[in-house]
Amino acid sequence: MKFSSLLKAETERVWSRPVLELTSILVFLSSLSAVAPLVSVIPPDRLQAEMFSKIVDSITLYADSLTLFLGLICAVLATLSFAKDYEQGLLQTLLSLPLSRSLVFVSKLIAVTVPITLIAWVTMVSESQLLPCIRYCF
Amino acid sequence: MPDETVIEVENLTKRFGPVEALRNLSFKVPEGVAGLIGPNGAGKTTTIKILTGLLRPDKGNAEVFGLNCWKDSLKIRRKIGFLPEKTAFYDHMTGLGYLILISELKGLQNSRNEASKALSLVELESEAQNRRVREYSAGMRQRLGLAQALLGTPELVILDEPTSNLDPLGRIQFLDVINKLSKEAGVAFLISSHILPELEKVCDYVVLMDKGRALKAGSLNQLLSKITTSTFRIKVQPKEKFVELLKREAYVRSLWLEEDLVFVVVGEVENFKRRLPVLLLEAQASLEELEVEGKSLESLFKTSLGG
Repeated sequence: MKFSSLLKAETERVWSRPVLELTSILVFLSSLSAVAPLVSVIPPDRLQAEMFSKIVDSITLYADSLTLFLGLICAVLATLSFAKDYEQGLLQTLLSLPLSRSLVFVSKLIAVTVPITLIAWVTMVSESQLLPCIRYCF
Repeated sequence: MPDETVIEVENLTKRFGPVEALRNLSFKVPEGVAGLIGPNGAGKTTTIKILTGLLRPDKGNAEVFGLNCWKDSLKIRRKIGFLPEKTAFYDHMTGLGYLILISELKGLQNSRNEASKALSLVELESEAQNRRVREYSAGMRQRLGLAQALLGTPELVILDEPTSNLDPLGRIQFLDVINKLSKEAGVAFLISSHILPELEKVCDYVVLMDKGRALKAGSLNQLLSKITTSTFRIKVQPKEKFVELLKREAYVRSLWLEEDLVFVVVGEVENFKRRLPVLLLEAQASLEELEVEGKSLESLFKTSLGG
């Protein structure tokens, strides 16, 4: 009960920041700059599909580096979660409650790492399964 | 005065690198409302952190309700409420939501009821229902911190600078809450504060600390009755030579200046009264004001620390 309440509060707080949105936008914008130019003559009826295919290719390329982005974000968030709470005094408040130190530590760590691991996993799955499907449809 | 000991500290020592924050600190605090006073750097916050199990002492022993503050810290934390010097919350929550969370973490049975009760004690219930904590003013945050410390009516409440951000009305309400909880619910309080006149209104017991040691500890009335010196507030023009001459007098225990005023603590009042006109004459100064200060926590503080 105590653990789930604390975990919920920690998760809500960490993910109330637009971390994922900003990361996604960053990856998408970076990938657009890497779209390969069209170098061959393409019939007008295939132009749209060809362009889309190239965009998907570049997103796939950048999605690989998303894991690195997410890893970095995870490290920053975890550091912030502990350092900021220590500096502002929330950690002191939590540790003055009848909670073990390990419970506070684990809930803080899980609140940062589990969602980010899930996101990385979903990204990998969608990259390997979803994007080829989309490409095939076009 | 009830004589059951709530807090017992014996030869407590704590170092932070080269700085010795506590030096063989020893004192006992009985039931009731106790004040922990002292200048900045006296070691008050370090003592409180040790009592709440946040810091481990290097040497010595600290007990709350007969339980060791480090080894039995979890048991102690079930019995106490604590307001740290720096108040911080889960800012994305509403005040009510935050207190419900803390109630759950404290293991209280009816979290929502306990949270509402604590909010009404600090008169925050109407504002706290729907507003997020990040939108609160400094005073409201302080009240929320107090509500958090009072959640579930603990046996001992430890407050570190509880009124620093409160307006005068908030301070009066806060003192009323302490009086009420102490007398009606038998809650013991340990309050660290620099606002001595306020502390004097609620305290039964006082521990005066300086440089990591307890200079004085005892019931407020006892300590005040032991003051054998008198503090005079004097305004003279010009004051420089007068102060020089006064410093040489044997009966002067301490002397300090505050703006235009000279404060002097004297041991033998009669001697001082006899010598004052002579000193004024020698210094060629004119006396503009002379007042004797009554015995108060402030005068105890000043006489003990020499201003």
